[in-house]
Amino acid sequence: MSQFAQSLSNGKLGRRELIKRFGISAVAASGLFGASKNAYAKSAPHVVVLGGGVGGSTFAKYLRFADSDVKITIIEQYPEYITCLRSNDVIVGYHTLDELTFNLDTVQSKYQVNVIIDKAIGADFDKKTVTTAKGQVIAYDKLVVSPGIDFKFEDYEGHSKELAETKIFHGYKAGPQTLALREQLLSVPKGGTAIIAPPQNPFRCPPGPYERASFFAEYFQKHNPTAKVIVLDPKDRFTKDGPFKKAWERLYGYQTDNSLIEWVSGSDGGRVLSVDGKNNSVETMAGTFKADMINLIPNQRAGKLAQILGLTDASGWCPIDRFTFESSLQKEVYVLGDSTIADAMPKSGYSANSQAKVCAQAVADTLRDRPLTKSVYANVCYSLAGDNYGVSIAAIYEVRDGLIQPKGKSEGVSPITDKPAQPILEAVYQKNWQREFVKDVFS
Amino acid sequence: MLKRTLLAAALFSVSAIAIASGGHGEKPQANPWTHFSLDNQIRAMPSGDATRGQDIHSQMMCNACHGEKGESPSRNYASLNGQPEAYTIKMMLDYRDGRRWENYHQAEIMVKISQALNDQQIADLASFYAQHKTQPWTYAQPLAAAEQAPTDKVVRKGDFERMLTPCASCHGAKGEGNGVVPALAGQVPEYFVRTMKAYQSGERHNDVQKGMSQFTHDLSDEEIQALAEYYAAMDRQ
Repeated sequence: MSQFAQSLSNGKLGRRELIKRFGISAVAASGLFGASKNAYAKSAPHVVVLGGGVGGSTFAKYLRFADSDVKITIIEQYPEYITCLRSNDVIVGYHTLDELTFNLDTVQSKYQVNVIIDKAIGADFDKKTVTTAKGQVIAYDKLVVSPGIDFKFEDYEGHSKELAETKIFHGYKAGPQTLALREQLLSVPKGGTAIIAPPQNPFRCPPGPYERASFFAEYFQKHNPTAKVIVLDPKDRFTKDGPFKKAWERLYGYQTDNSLIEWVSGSDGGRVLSVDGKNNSVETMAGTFKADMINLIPNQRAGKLAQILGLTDASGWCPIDRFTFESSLQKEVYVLGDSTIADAMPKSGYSANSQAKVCAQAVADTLRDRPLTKSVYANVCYSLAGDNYGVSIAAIYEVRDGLIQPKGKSEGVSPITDKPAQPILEAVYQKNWQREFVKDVFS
Repeated sequence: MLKRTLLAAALFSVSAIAIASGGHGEKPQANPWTHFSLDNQIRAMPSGDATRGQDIHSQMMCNACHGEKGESPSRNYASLNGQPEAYTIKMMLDYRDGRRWENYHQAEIMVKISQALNDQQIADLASFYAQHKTQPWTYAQPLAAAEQAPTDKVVRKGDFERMLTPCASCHGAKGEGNGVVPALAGQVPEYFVRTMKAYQSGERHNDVQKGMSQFTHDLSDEEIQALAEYYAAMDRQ
């Protein structure tokens, strides 16, 4: 965390210091701060971003590229951000969490973005202000919200937030959850069972549960070869299921008697109905499954902040204008990333990054009364089916017939070939992609 | 059948490596070569078959970067055609065992690919590349007259003042290479420069007892560039 953010979050940064940094008129206007009169025109608009993850950080950086005379503030609850990207690797020990931990220092210093470490708790859309947990009231001209996801524990009888924090971990927000799963995996006894229960669509990182199942199988193959992974799925199909299942066949004996992975589809009764934390078991249509660890990834909806701000519709997700990502429910408020209804675009870090760039351009154009440019999005999801076995899906998206849809023939998944080099190379590309992607977001 | 065997072999070694390493890209620990150990290793390799090598060249997608016969179609990658068998074998072993681990990311791909190959497959590939002659780099430009003479002198006579042995004394009068010494004729100049710089900085150190790197320290950037272009244009015919 930067010194500035630290002093702000400690409440040590006085008014004088704020004025020095941001100029007196803005301080008067917002009650707190604004942009330095040396750096910005008096009329420079103020764009406030709630959430400093992939969507928020990318947005701030790219808005700065698009316009040097706009004041940008990110309000983020945590001083550090751990990417969900590659957090499956941490569970099996291919990475440490340190390697996935980032902060907003570079975005702050390199792109003149004001970072406030505080929790946004509400907004007044008429007065155009945001309120934080520490009592700050911050005025905005445009508000951007990138709040991530929230879990629907209530969809499973016997499940709760408490149980998800003590025993039945989801590992779908990287951090303590990730490490807890690692600990559980390492404690599975010889010949034991791990259950992974993916959620219903739509959910964050569609290949995540299946990559995780692959990694668990690879881990068992090396360290506990009589143990087994059971995937209890409410669905009959999942993303990249062709190449994933082929990889499972090649690597883990899938669909043989000695398979390290068993996948129970929705039609076969894989949907989890209830959870018994005491007995470490789940009940499904196909019967009761007992296991040594249960990784239930609950059904999801838009992040809490989006709900509090009233940006969600009956589906639990945020409807947006497909061209700009401006909320359909609230003018001058934009929503990015996993919490949005982006049609064919998966809820991925790559998608959030791509949406943030389009949105930054749209916000910059709107602030300057310029016509909007064309909205084109992209997504690539690389997954590992093993340490040296990659599978991917990619598409370019455009808005067609009112929906975000793959453009032309741009959509595709890894072909299944007899070339052993292909998945090896995809695994190398995956690692290279991750390295470059986090640079695009955080530096 | 061959394809199936290849796949099985590749997948087997993939999992074997995974067992050996604790994390992504963890570096295997191999002892540096001595002349003795390298000689023994090369002699212990199975003899290669160029026809099988051609198959592996395609199966392992070597052709995607190194061209149909090993002639790189891109400035990013090395040409492999015309390399002596022993040299290709040594490089693949060096990638596989962590002796070549340069921090530019083309090397990362080679590490993973070589780890998926067994000794027989490496020998077959080496035989395939050795079968094809070097050819001048497609985009090679003749050196300017002012550079041609001093560069030619370093190559053929060396530089006594700087204790530089002539390049040709190991790499051959026509840049054809010899045993574990690579051919340089027709090599992609960007790869040549990158390699010399890596030897200079010590990032690359898989040469036996500094057999190559000792000659790089006294060369200027301009000389290295000129040597790269000199060799790129060389036609050994």
